[in-house]
Amino acid sequence: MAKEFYDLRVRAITVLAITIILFFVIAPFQKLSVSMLEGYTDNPAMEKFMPKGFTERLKEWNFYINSQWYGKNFGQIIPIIGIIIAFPLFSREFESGTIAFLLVRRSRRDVFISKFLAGLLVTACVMFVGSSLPPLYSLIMSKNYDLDLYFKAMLQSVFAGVLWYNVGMFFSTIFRDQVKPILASLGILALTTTVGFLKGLRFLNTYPYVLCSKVLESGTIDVPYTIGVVAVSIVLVVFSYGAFKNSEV
Amino acid sequence: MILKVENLRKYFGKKNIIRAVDGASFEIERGDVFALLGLNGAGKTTTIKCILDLCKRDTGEIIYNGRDKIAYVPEGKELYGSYKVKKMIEVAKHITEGFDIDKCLEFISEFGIPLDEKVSSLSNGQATQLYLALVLSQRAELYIFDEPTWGLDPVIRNKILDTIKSIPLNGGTVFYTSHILGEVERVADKIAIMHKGKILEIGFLDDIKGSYCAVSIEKMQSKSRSEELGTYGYLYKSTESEDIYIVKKDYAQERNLDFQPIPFELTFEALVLGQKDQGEESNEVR
Repeated sequence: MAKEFYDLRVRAITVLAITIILFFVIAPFQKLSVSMLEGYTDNPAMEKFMPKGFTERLKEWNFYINSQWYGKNFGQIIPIIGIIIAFPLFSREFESGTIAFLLVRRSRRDVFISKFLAGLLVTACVMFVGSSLPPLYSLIMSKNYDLDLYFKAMLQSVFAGVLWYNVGMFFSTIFRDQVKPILASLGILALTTTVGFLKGLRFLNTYPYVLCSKVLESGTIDVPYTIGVVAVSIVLVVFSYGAFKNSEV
Repeated sequence: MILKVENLRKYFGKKNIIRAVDGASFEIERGDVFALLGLNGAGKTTTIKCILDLCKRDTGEIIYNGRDKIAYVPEGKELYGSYKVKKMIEVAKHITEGFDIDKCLEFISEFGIPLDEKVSSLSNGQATQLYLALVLSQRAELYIFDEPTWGLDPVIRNKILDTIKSIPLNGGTVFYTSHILGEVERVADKIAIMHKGKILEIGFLDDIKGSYCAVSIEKMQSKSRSEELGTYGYLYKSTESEDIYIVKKDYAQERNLDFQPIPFELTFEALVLGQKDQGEESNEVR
């Protein structure tokens, strides 16, 4: 698995750096954001987008950082991070022809497990670090922070990231170049999000879950959706292994 | 016997229209240097991929009697371009059972490959030598080389061929593919000639070389003899006065025909080009 971690290092560091930069785009600017929004309070067009009292609530640190981080900046990039970590896992080996180097030395099962676990661990770590930034920042800046909500948001972020990681990995096992897996994964993300706006198909839109809507609104984890996410992830892993096991070099 | 391939078939395309390997059978004995010869697209690489389970065979049986994994140098010699040579060796050690890193470093030093160079910066010859060093440092009983000298200059090619030839001295067995006949004559003990997925001829190189000959027939001398040879031999050359056929030596001897020995290239040409596509009149050399 050391090779897999070595191969993942650039992507892992890049997504981690982007995540941290995105955090510092919002975390230190609470006052600025609130004052900017206060300038729009008398604008009737903004009422449609901003619930009453929203600006007031943003003055409270917990609400500000949770809504802006889990519910916006970090949440939006969670699926992209999962896909970026996963898409070249297998497809790059097929594209460059190096897959033969691995498969004549290790069994397909070993190759699959080491690649899958290395990517999974990196994705989970990025999700953990990303979702842990609000409590860490709060600690350093001596701000009061509600840890109960953090644990729930962190858990959902990890599960959501892993789901999209598995989508990316599935396409990585079935395509022989690196462009198709990323396009197919992003296509599925766009499709599920769009179709999810239709009544009856809302469950397909993963964003309410990814953005921790339920956690932020009611302070509880969306348990049924989490079970669904875990189930779909398991199915994707099984299909990915099947595709890789039967793939031809 | 270390490897036995029995009636191997691998078809591709819609309705299995491309018969990459079409009923190939052969055996490789321990300590042999066995060469699979054929034109580009003959099915050599697909045969190897089926043996290594990189390709799923349609039918047939492959029996490998070795304890260790098969060592393999693929046609493309694809390694991790972004790694430095040192890192590539570390990775190979990490994922290869019975990898002797000291032996590998000896080969690297002998080949003069810089350890701190990126793999992508190596020349084609150096990349092949690096691949070879990684493979030869692996504990293996069977070494498979797929066109190992493709694109190399004569000096490096000779070095590599010498290295391959020395493998049986250390108890290994070599399965080697090439379409360069000179190389095969230099390295191999036993050969199989493959064309369009089928094995046309198999045996010791010297036996095959000695079992074909050239027969020349004056055009005016015997029309019926010419017609017969046209069926049983391969028309290599036709001049105004005579036709030169390549036939099996037994055939020429049985009919008391004057014959001349021929170089191995001509035997190969006769065997491969004497094979017509399905539906065409057969011109198989007998």
